[in-house]
Amino acid sequence: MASVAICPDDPAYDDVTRRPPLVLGGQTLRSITDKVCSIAETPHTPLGWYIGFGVASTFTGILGACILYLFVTGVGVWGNNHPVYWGWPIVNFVFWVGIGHAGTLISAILFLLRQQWRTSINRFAEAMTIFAVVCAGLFPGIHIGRVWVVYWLAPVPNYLAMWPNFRSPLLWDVFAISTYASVSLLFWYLGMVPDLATLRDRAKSPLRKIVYGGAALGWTGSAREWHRYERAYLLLAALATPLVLSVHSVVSFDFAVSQLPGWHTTVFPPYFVAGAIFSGFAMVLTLLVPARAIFKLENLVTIRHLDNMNKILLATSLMVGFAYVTEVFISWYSAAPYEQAAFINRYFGNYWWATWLMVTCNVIIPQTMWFRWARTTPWFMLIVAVCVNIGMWFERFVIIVTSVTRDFLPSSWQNFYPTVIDYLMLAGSFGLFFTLFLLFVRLLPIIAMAEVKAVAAHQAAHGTHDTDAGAADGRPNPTIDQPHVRQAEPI
Amino acid sequence: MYGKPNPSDKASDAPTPSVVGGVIAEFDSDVALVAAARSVKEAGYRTFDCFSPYPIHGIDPAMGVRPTILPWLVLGAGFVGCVVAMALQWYANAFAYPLIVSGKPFFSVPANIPVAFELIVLFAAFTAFLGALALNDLPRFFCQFWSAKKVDFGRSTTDGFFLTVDADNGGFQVDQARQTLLESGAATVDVYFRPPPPPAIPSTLVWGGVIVALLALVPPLLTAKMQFRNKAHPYVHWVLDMDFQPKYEPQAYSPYFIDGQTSRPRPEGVVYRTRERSQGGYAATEMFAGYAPDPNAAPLGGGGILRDEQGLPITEETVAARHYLEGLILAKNDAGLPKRDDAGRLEWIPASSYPIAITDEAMARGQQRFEIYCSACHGLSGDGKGPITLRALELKAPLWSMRAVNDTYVSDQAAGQIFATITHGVVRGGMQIMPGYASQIAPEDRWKIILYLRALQRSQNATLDDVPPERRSVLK
Repeated sequence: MASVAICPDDPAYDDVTRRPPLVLGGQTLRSITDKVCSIAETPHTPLGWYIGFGVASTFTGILGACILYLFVTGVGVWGNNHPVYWGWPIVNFVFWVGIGHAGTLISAILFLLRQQWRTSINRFAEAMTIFAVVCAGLFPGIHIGRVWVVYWLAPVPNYLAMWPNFRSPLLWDVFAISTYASVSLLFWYLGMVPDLATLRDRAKSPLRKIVYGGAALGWTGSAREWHRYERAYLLLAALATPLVLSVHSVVSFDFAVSQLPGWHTTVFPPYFVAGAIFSGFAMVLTLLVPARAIFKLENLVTIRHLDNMNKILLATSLMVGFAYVTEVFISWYSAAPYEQAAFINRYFGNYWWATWLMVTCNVIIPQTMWFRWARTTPWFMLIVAVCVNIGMWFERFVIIVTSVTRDFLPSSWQNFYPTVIDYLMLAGSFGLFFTLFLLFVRLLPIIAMAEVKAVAAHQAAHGTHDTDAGAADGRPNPTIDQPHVRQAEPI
Repeated sequence: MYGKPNPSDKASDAPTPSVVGGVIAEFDSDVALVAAARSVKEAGYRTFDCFSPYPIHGIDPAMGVRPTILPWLVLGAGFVGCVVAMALQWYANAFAYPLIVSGKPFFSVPANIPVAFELIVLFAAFTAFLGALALNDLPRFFCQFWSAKKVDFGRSTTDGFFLTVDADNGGFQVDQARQTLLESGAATVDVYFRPPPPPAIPSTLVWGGVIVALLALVPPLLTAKMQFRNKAHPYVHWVLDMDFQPKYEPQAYSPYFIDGQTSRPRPEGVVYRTRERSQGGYAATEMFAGYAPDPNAAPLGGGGILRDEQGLPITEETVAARHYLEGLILAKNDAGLPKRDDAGRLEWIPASSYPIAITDEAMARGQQRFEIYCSACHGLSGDGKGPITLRALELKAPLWSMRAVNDTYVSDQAAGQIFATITHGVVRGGMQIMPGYASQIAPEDRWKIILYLRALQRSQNATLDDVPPERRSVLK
């Protein structure tokens, strides 16, 4: 415990008697504003941004060309064929929609739990959610064959007098994903309105004044506006929390409600939700660690933030690992020969390498996060996060492909062979994701300035032991105040 | 001071608006602002507001801001979302398009929970967002506080803390309000002005807009009208999905065959199978199939010529074909000659006679066909209680009714009329309540079914007298 005195400024150090500071470096309200706004305002776009944008938009173009080719030619351009009709498009869909979960989780659930450390990363994570859901929504949209009748998915009157089947999980999926995309967008935008007003009031050029002025909706920051805004934000968080849990549950119903061995299990909804949060946090880390270094945001996105995220990564990794073990146990315990065959095939069959890659990336490698060094070393956590991204893609591949390649009829057993278009579209979806993301970091406030200012002001007024939050958490206030090694931030 | 708030306006020499809007004061910190809000409220002002770059906790009681109504609106919207979801699912899957899936009920709450949940959240979230905007009077693209020159109101979203007291307050006096604010610890105090009223929109523009808006309604209304026509061909739809297919019609030109025809002649050794063309057909139907008639087949009706009341010829083959294929015979006048109506058309009536030989074999074949095609709905005895009917009644299928075919309603009909019913089905109230069986049952078998149906009708209402005397002992 002597280390309290030795490294009092280490924000990752856990000391129950004081809350670690969430904003470092003696920030003032103006310096926070300058720091965040300058990224969107600087006339000198970093060269790295141009390079990244060039690569990402090239892949977006490739994606567009592949989609055009798909529309003109038909779904035969993919490797989907008997018995694997749900091939890469659905793997990519589940992968992206899973990534889209961390944003709303960080925003909504951590907000409801009064985890103030979320303020520096929530905007980032919400943007990531929106863009991941865009990539996710793309694949079911284009894999239906005749895209020009995609409106048949929606309950709109059509000339066939035909209505969708509301008892099908695939239709629940349409509702869940579109609701999730809409609510995430509202949540993201509502949170951004005060920061857009800041950009508007700082704007110099007429174009920026018009664009940011329109987007800010005339926000002035009056106390009455803040009152309703905070209430609306709390309500949206309360609505988004069950929503985020429902979306991947519904996605898992697509599989769990069918009768296929390897899919037909009740563990799927919690298993999928844990996996979604896991992959989402990994993607946030993948994006945040480089962005934090490039834009020099170390004082706002502190090591403490990264440490907390890595702890959640570790926790969800353990949940996912537990689900893998549960599946295997239940297949043995069920005494159903088809279940058992499906899991023996999954771990030792034609796709054994994909399954073990999944286990290695998702369960074994994240165990390094038990060590404090790993949780506080950005380059290392970046490697782990990328591994988790790869592992989670393979998890969806394993679930979807290994189950259907081994049908009930041995005569229809057939491996899955992706085509060049499959590979290009996966790469292209990453291109689309990063294109949108790079536009976001260049044009919009990437950190929730108003929330960070509120946290900084709170920190300045109450010191860093944060008695209010302690009481809100239900824990007793410290009766003996430790002498503060560090003074409150100047504000 | 129109349009976007613009800090550079302060430097311009635009004419200063003259109507005082109120007093604005800048404070150094959030603590000072909360204290000032409290003293301004205590000084009796009602229309005043505080501006800060982040929400200041504790300022609402200081200002006397009452809790917003927004949560109740959101609750109501969630409830509406639930009702809409349930109504939509009931309408779609239990009413408009009842779809049998594994024998599950058309409307059951558990299957409808996911969609109901999503719509509750969707409605509630949009209400929370739009409600917060509406209650805050947003979007609003004008701000009068920028007209105060001594303070930079733009800092309110960066690091400035402002308090405004509006001239709406009863008994408002600039000097008094300024004094109150200075005593509350304001760093700077200034006066802001009301914007000049916006210029009126020219009436020509208004009426032009109204006319354009009305004209714009015409295409959607016409489209909507087209959707509700009662026509057999497809409604207007923008995506011509499979309306036009690249294919060859019968009797069309084809460059691929020597005879230039798309229809191919019957190859050597193919088994002859009668095809009919009931609408407007006058002869054996090979000609409609596009290949030459079989010269060895006996012509129907013997190939003789009839003459009608005007002495015009009708081939016996035509008459026999219509009887056999459509159940129609020619109406005769008193002289026993075929009649024509005023427009010169021959008059055809349902036949009471049978164009087939009435034998035990025909009756047995008719029974077998009846039990295959008819009994599923009409019942084995023709009482209208087949298994499909029983199932439909059990499911309380709307609009379901089944004709008993052994009662007098059907037995009073001519055989040709029953033949037409089997061939074309029954349409009532614009709905095909019985499908036509022309494509499934050959004409020969339809007549045999009628033979068996007649036997059923007779057996259901029979007395002992109907039984041949030598068989009566069986019943005793």
